[in-house]
Amino acid sequence: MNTGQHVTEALAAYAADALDQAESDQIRAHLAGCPACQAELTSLRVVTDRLANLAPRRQPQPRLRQRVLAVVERAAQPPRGAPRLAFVRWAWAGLTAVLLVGQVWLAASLLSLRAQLNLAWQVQTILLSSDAAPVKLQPPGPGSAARGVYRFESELRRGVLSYYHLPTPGASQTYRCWFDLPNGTETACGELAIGPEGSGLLLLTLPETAPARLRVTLEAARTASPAGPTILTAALSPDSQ
Amino acid sequence: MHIAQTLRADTSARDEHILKCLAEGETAAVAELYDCYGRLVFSLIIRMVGDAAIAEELVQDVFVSVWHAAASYRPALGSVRTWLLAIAHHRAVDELRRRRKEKSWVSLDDVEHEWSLSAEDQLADPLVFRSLETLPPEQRLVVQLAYFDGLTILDIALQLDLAPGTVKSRLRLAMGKLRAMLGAESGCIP
Repeated sequence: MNTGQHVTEALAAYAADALDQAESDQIRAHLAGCPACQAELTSLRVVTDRLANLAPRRQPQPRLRQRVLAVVERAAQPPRGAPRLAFVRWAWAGLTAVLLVGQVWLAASLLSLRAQLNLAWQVQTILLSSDAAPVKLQPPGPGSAARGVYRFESELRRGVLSYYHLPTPGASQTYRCWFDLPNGTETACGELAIGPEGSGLLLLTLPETAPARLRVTLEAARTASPAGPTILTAALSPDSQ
Repeated sequence: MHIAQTLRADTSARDEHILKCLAEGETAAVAELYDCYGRLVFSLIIRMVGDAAIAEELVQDVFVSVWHAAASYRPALGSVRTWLLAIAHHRAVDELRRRRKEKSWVSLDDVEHEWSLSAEDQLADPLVFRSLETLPPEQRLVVQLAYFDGLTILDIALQLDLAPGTVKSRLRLAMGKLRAMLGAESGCIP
């Protein structure tokens, strides 16, 4: 059927619902853009309206009215899918947030792992490359169980201090490491992280001038020179550079 | 203005107001529409499908459809009553065709081959009944098979052993005559 041509021949059948689905769809499509055929259909609908009058009047059961009103009330309610959809949206938002936090945590973990692997790699390099004897660090006086061992590799200008049994520092205190230089000055060489049983590892970069002593002090603040008590100390030989 | 025209204008204004309320989401307006046309819709449907329980289901469907489609109603294309009856008729035809589809064929026992409107039908709208009686029997039969029995043009052609074009032509002629007799074109419906 050409939707550009009038469909007058079929309109009576359309008005009487006597066309099959396909032909009805074609007529409907034509009517949407043809005021003349719409007007023709409107006049035919009046006939079908009057034909309906031939149906003998039957009084429906009173309950039908209540059923109709109830079913329309239900139809007027927001579809149950709406709150469910909102829940799904919130769930997706929550899941996305969790995934995002998870990704951040994973990235941070990977960075930390990478730093630890880097530390382990450097420690391994120093230990395998050094042929110098390890230097033991002792507390300056009796009564402390803190201990440390210093190993270094002169050519790499890198050293590693391992320590254990360091007492847990106070809330605002930190253990700091120092090289005492022959000219009476000190140079900071790092802050000690305290692990289980007061243990840990600290990578050191050797100063240009051969240091005379290695010290660990307990500091209350980040200072340019040691001000707190010495916890571990060891004299270094001239080879320790 | 003629009294009938005045009444029709009042009815149209009332019905269009109900449809406007429905379109704005007022479910209470359904009760008003049902009180006006529920009996007519039920009567048409049960006349076509013959089963009260099924007719009640279809009436519910009709009013839910009206609720959903109220915003699309256009007064220029016909009155609310005409629009409502078209929806009701369409639902009843769907039901009749569904039943026939289940049987896979159109049984000769299911449809009348003779004009079969009863005296009870005659009482419902004597003017329409008389108008139908003036039609040639073959045109009257096609109107009945199409409108009241819900047969398609093709079904009727098979039943009456006619070409589909002939059936379509008879229906068109019959509807045209009825329109002229009922004064639909002039808008002078009593």
